[in-house]
Amino acid sequence: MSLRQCIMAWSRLALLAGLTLVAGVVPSTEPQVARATDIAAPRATVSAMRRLTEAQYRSMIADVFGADIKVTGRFEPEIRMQGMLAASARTAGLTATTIENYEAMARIVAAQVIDPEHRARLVGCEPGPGDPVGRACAIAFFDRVGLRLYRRPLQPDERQLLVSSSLAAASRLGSFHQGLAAGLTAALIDLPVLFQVDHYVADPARPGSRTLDGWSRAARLSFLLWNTAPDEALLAAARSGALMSDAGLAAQVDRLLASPRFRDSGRAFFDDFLQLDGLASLSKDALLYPAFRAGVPAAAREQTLRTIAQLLYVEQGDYRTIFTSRRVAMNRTLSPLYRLPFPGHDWAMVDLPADDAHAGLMSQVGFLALHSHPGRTSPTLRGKAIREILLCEEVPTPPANVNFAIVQDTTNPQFKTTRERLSAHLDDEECASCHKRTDGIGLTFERFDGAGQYRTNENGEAIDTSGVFDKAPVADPVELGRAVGQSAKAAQCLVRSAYRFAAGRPLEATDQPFLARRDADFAASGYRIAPLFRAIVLDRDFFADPNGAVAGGPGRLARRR
Amino acid sequence: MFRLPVRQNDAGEKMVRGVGYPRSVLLAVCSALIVLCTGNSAPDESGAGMTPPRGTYGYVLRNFYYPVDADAQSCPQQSLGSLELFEQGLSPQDRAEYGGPQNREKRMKLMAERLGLKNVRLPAKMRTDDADPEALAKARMQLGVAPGKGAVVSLGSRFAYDTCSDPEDFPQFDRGNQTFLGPVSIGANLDGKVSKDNFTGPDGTRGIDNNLLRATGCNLGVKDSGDTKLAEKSLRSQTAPTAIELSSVDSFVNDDDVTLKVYAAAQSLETGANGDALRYASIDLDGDQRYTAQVRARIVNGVLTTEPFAFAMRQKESVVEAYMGFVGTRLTIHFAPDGTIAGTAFGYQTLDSLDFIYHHLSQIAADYSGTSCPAITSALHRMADGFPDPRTHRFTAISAAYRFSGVPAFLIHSAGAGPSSGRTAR
Amino acid sequence: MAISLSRRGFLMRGTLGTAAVTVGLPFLDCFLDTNGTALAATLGGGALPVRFGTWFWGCGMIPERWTPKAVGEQFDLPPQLAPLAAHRKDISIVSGHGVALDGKSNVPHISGNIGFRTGTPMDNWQQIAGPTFDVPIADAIGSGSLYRSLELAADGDPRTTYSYRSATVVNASVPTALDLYHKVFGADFHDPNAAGFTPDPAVMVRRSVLSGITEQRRRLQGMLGAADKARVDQYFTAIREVEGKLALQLQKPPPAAACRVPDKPRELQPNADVAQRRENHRAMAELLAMALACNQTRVFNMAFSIASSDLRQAGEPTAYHQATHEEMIDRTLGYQPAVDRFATLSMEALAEFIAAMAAVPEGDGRLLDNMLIVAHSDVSFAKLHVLTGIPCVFAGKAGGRIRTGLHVTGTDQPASRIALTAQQAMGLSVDTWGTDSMRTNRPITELIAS
Repeated sequence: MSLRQCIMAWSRLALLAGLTLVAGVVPSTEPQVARATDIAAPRATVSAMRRLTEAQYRSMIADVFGADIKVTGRFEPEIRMQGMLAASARTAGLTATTIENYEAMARIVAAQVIDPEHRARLVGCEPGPGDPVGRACAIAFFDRVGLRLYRRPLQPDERQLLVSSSLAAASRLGSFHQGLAAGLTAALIDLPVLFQVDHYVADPARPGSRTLDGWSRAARLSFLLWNTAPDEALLAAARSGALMSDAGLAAQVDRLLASPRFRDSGRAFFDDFLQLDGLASLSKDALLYPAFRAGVPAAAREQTLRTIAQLLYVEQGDYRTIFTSRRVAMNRTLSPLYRLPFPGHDWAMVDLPADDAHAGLMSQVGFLALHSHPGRTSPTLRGKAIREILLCEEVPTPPANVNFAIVQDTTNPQFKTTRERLSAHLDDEECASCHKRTDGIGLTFERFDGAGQYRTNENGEAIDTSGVFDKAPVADPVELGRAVGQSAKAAQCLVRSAYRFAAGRPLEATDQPFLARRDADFAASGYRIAPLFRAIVLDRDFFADPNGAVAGGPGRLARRR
Repeated sequence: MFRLPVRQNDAGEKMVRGVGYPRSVLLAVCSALIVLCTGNSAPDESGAGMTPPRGTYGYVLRNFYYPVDADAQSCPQQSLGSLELFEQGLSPQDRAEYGGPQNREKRMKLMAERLGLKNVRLPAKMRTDDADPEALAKARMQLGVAPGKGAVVSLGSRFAYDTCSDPEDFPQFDRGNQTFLGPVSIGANLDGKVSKDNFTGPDGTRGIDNNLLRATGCNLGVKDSGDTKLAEKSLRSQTAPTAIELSSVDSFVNDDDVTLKVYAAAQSLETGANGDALRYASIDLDGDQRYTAQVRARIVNGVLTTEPFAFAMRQKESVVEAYMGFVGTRLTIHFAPDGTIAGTAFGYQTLDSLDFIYHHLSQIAADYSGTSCPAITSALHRMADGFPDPRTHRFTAISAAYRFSGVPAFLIHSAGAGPSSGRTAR
Repeated sequence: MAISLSRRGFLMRGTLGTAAVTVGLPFLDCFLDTNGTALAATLGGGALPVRFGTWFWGCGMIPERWTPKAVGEQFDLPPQLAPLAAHRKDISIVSGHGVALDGKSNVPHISGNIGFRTGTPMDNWQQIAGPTFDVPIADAIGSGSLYRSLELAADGDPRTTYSYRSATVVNASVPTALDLYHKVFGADFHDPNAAGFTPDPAVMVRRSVLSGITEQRRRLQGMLGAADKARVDQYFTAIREVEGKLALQLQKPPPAAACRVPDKPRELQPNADVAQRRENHRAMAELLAMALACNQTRVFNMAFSIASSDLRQAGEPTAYHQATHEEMIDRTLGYQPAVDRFATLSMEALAEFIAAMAAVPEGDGRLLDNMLIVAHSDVSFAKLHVLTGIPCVFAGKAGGRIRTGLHVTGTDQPASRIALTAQQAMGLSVDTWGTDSMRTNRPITELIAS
């Protein structure tokens, strides 16, 4: 390709990429169920490559080499696009620093794999009389390990490259094992290892269309349902072709869903969906909230994830109950913030006392503290978080030139409670249009301070917890939890987020009929998570090539029937 | 010496005097009763419903100190420490070489040499109030110290023979203690009388008994740690705090019948991001019966007062690990709206426990705090004014007045934990 | 010995009409002299390399208390600029340049910064059409050192970065002084002034292993769609760069007289507390100064605070950004006191940064003389997110290419002129920057030394 052609191709790409992204963020005029998905814009080609997340990479190393192999190093932060990290896995780029970090981590892993404590178990052979430079050993090692790391058998040239560079390195460094480590390092940063790459083949069931091949199906299922690389059984099903048949596929899906490892994917999904990564860098004023000490943000994140894991995965409960449940996983670090005694061992499920004001996800310390300021609450941020994260609605950004002089009451600048301060938002027409959607919800939580701790008054004045949710009054967070949980929007938001997580891309207009069916099934199943994911992955279009028929062929496939 | 009064029965079991049951049974029953009565059950696996029963409230103390707000009037001179007395006794030549603040360390070394003071690192750390007799005997042999001499010091990491471990061996330092002359102190009129060495309370009450302050108030170290402003800002005995549990509380305004229990915590005080004691932390309690006590109390107009009772508290501060023993002492507690407490303890501190503190002080700590152990322990014995021994008629305790403050906490009683071994060999 | 480095070192801009695009091109060997150091090393006529960096602070300033009244060399230092008094001769103040929205929305604390740094305002960073202006500079002068550029965030969050190669390729930041120390002066560091040098066989092995990861992947590309070709290209570009770095590590680094290996800093958990922030920032500035003096990098981007500055004083419930909107203008003072305090604090931090660069002697002068720092914010008056007159300070003489000691102003000029001036000062042959109303081909000539 000539330079000029290259330039033209790039410019087309950039335009298309820009258009897609712009199309994706146009705010709708009315609060829509799905955020910015009902746009009929020409779609750019969907990337077939999804970079593994940090958790997936770590799990894969632990599965292949053992949990005692340490993965130390810095993973770069993921970009959040349109609300979900998973949606950006197909577009996020990487820099030299990214590769450098992976190379450093890979070297550390490889060094452990070949060290004296591990080599017998993990390598299991070495040069000997029948194999003087260790070529046969290297071949056996890379075939075995390569299948797990690449999620498919090594191609001949890949095997050749890994083996020959290992042996060359061994000769340079004077050690077979160190040479092997050099080759393993190369494998660990290889493109098909760092990325899930979708390979399509002709679909035997639908002539003219393409579908994911068996190995790619195994990888996609495993990363989605266990958040790790495929295990031996799944790889065997790929090899035998079982994953290309409905029955074989269903059997594996059911196996994956029934396993406790399904909870790992639950963690990954809810961590992304609820945007809990913000807790990693959360800090509060040490003087105003002394109980919010160093270990608290991480513990709060863990609390939310474990509570959800228990309610929705272990107990396979109704999704809506997370908004009202009086049960929460508790640990020693968090117990002072809830004014409860430590349950005896970390992360035991605790029944909150009947008169306790906490109920459900939205009154957990993590959610409340994350959506507050470092030194005080923010009903606006809390309301916005509930609308955007839990209900998938769009809240417009505030106008740049808002002049608070209008809302600051010059006769009584000292508003005792936050509610009084914010009431000015609602008096002004321009402000009220957005604020009535957020403040009415967020004010319900005012009995929880900026660190999520319960209080009954602010500056000496009693706190009023009444609010409004979608035009209906709610008296307190318990009632709000019930109202949010029961709303159709909450369930639909969960369904759409689960689908974005599974597909790894933003939603499109053509997804609508599929999503409508999933909404109905979700309700019919009692709002249970496992059946939802089962329905998503077993849908016959889940593995279809999103870029249409054979490359260069006639237009896009009509996907959802 | 610090143990429950016991004797052996015919079976060789240690029986608690005055009660007919073997000590082990008694302690087990007591633990069980405490557990049952407070309702704080052993941590169960489900962790469900772990709030304390109604009427039960836990606190952990962030400090416990006796205020010494001295001025020039109260202490015309500062009490002399053994190092200063030693310096005074030096010949002019020696004074030239070893005198003055710049030669302090040299002087300390010289004093140790001349007086045969000793200090050695112990092979393994031991609890000061629970020392292993064999290890002690070995340490004595190493130091060439006679049986019964020397003490565990430096938070259990060293063994020493010095003017504090055995003050009676150093009568030359039994002088220079300045009695605290100030007129005002917190406290109570414990004996009902008004005598010349009594104090007047801040509200004008006369006859306040606080001979502990009289005897020790002009000592440099005591003045430092008794400075109210500083004391209120600092945490005391942070690594070995004391917990208080109130039960049967129906009202924090007026309640005729409340139970107050004192416990040792089995862990350090939990601190918040601001460095101060953390409220509503869960604190594990130590089952050590020596530090467990119970008394009745009542709340009148928002203030709780106990009956006089006996109790002991662990004290672990920088280099000293000791305990404070109290008899005939009343606790008073005020409750703040934010759940914290502030209170006083007026009564008698036992000479045994004060001797214990100074016995385990170590020469270095004495030198840096301007203390003469022979002089100060002498003064304490001389000014003791409570609980005469029936046989010797000597007073065994000295009047005292302490302040404390605490934060609300959840007290986790350990299930089935017996007392510690209870040995303090000498 | 010529090193063949097939590195993507250039970005072409503006050749395709309205759309600003990024193109990866092979880095041509002819740009390297025989020592493998980049062309930019000879800028300014001396042998010392010229460095470039940006320094960012959020929430702007209060124009009446920041912008000097007098223009030219005799400019005054209003109260918020007072902290920079000691560096007066080493800085130039640039006022009156801002971002033109052309009808786009002013997304608070986003549109302004995107407009300033990329030349085209956008609603969010995931939509930007071109790189931030530090990236082409890094591509031009950064390839001779181990790190093409170093991104630093004083707030402890690696996501705080304003260096974007494209909407999807972000340069994440190093968040703490200790991390910076480990990265630059850790295991991979070769002291340029060390007596001997033996190429490490382990590094040779790593490099040759990386060089094997190449052409087979081209076959993979044949099967991928257009969207993926770009990402695969990115992957290979990154691999090549790492390979290039390893190649650099196999040669004795050229001596750097000013280089002194610094001490390991203490562990510090930076957060929004302004005292902690400044402590982390100071420690990072000192390390960065040494990283520059030791030629480990030539380009940096320091973010002192995020655009919606989260700085706060311990014990006060209201942080800087909140105060900009909620604090009332004091009747007697005529401005918002807490906002004024934070804006001044941000300038104090800038002064500390400049001081760290000035503290390192280099050649006949100081490190600061051989660098250009463009310090700027995302808005001018934060209360109303005003995008005109976004404050900007140039520090350092760029090896003689930049004039300091001036106040330069304009009437509603596009900030793209600042980006263009900086790139030209660093020797890039670029003649336009920005799009639509912000498109410009006029650098700020008063700042350029002739």
